[in-house]
Amino acid sequence: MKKIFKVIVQFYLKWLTKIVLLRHKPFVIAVAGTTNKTFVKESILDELGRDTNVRGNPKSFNTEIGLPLAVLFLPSGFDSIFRWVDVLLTGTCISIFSRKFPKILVLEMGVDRPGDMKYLLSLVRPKIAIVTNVDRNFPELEIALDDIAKEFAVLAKAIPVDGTLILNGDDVRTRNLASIANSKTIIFGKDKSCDAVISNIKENDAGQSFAFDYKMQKKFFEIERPGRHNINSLVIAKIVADELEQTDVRRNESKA
Amino acid sequence: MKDENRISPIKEIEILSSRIPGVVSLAQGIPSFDTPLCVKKRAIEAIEDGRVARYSLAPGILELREAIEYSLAKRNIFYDFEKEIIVTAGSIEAITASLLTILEPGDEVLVPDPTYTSYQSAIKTARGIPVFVPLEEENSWDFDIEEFKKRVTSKTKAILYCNPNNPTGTVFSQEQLMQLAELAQMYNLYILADEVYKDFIYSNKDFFSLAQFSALRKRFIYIFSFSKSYAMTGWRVAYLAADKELAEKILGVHDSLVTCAPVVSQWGALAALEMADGVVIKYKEIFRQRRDFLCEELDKLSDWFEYQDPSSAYFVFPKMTDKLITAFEKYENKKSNNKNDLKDYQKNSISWRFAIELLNSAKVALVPGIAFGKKGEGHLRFCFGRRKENIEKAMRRIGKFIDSIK
Repeated sequence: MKKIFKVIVQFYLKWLTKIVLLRHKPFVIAVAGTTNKTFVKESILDELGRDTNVRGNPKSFNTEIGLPLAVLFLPSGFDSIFRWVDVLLTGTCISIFSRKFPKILVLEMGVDRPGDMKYLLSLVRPKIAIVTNVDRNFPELEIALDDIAKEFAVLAKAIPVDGTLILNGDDVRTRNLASIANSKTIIFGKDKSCDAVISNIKENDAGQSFAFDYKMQKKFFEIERPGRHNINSLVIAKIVADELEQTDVRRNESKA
Repeated sequence: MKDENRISPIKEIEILSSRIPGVVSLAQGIPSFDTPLCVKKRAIEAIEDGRVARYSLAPGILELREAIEYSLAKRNIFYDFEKEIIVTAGSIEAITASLLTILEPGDEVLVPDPTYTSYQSAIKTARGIPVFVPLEEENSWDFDIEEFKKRVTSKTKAILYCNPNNPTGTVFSQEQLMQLAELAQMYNLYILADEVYKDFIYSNKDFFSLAQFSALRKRFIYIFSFSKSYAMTGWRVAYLAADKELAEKILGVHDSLVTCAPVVSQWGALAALEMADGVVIKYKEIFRQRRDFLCEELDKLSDWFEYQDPSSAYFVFPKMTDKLITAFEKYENKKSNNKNDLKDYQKNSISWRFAIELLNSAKVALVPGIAFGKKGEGHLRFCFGRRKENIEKAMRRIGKFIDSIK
């Protein structure tokens, strides 16, 4: 019974999402990868400014039901049928009657099993996609990282010619996605062959500092948070902001 | 075989009480609630998806560690989930693994007195020596930094504390904790902070963690358990966070102790962090009501018990008044053979004898204060994490028992 209800909710939310996206046509930025999606999303939101024109997934709503909820900005009904009915009714109103909608959506896209990415892409059409890394939770070799990478390959191929694919150059499987992309690719990482090069990483008790070399400009940053992924998050956010500067989105946004 | 380590008195009381039909227990610190549904559902999903049959990576599943980093960052506590966060089989494993990492045999660890009873055995398990630093009951069980200083020797390696403190419910202030930090820096000591009760603070005071003080990073180990906040005591899942070099060493010990935390519990913990914030707020409000109720009941017995208002956790730690001790000793003298069944360490402790007699005669299980250190002697720990009707029943029985001995 619950499974049937879940299928109905998923199906209904899918169509509400399609309708609202068709009506408002927001610019979608997809954040994918095994880890670091949330920090990247948060960094992008910080970089773009958290206002009514920019929205990200609340919490980590990033799956087949979570993503539509994120687009429609609805809470989960959790285990209550009544709450789900309420969610669907509110979603219907938002989908059909909403007049205001963010111009930019920054969406985490979580994949657990083969086919997940294809489903998520049937809901949203990102113009910019980021793949943070390909990793796994279990030490056994039988869980093939290459299979996980295939899911992200679906996303990489789906980015249109006028879109941008941003890839972690320090992770071989992620970097290899560039070879199948139809769009422009921007690869960031420590390797000097990357488009955006991270160097001079220095750690201390107060956090870390690093240099970021992109488009012939070298900038230095200091962040409070430790960990390479936090450097990556900031770098990705800078690249995304730069990419958006070259689109009409931000200009239209400021006119609005 | 070493004789020093025995089962904690809390568990000892629970075992004794399990043999007596009809006992009401306010002993072990277990919340009365069931685990939140969202946690159980996520665990079931993980089981059905075949994600729990294998070991996870030793430090824990990536998603959970990432969520832990995210939740800590919201409190201005910054650790790298890839290298500095380890998911453990309960906080006691986190503490034991940390102590096994940092201690050489014979090293001393300063612990507040009274404090959580299992710290002593964890220190002894790591071949260390617990050195007790008395807290000031008159001052709401706060500590005096001079008492810590007095006890630092060339063998002192670490300070281990619980904040908010169990069993006193004291929340140590930022000023006090910074004094501890200074001491640690001055004498090259590690600090282990167990913040298992941080979500149950009933005062409006800001809660400060030394984990926010980045200068202490290299010598600080942060510990948090999902057991209390999310009613997950049976899931055995907690985490520690430490600077990467230290974390790497602790990881080696953790790996040899448990390989990894239970994987099904790790998925549950992830759901707890992502979805159960509202539940924690609800639990806190219920605990607050139970605390007020228990304190009101204790006020009715004010000739027999005196207590400091607990501003956090879910324990009250009242002192037995002289009147109660005198009455109880007279009662003991009348019952000639009642000490024969006691073990030596119980015979010499008024709180142990009272707790056991209360258990046998009134069928109420409380933890004797001596379990938490010498300063705890003459006290009893009441847990208000239990159901209100059980608290009510226990207090009624205690009242009757006191009537019978006075």
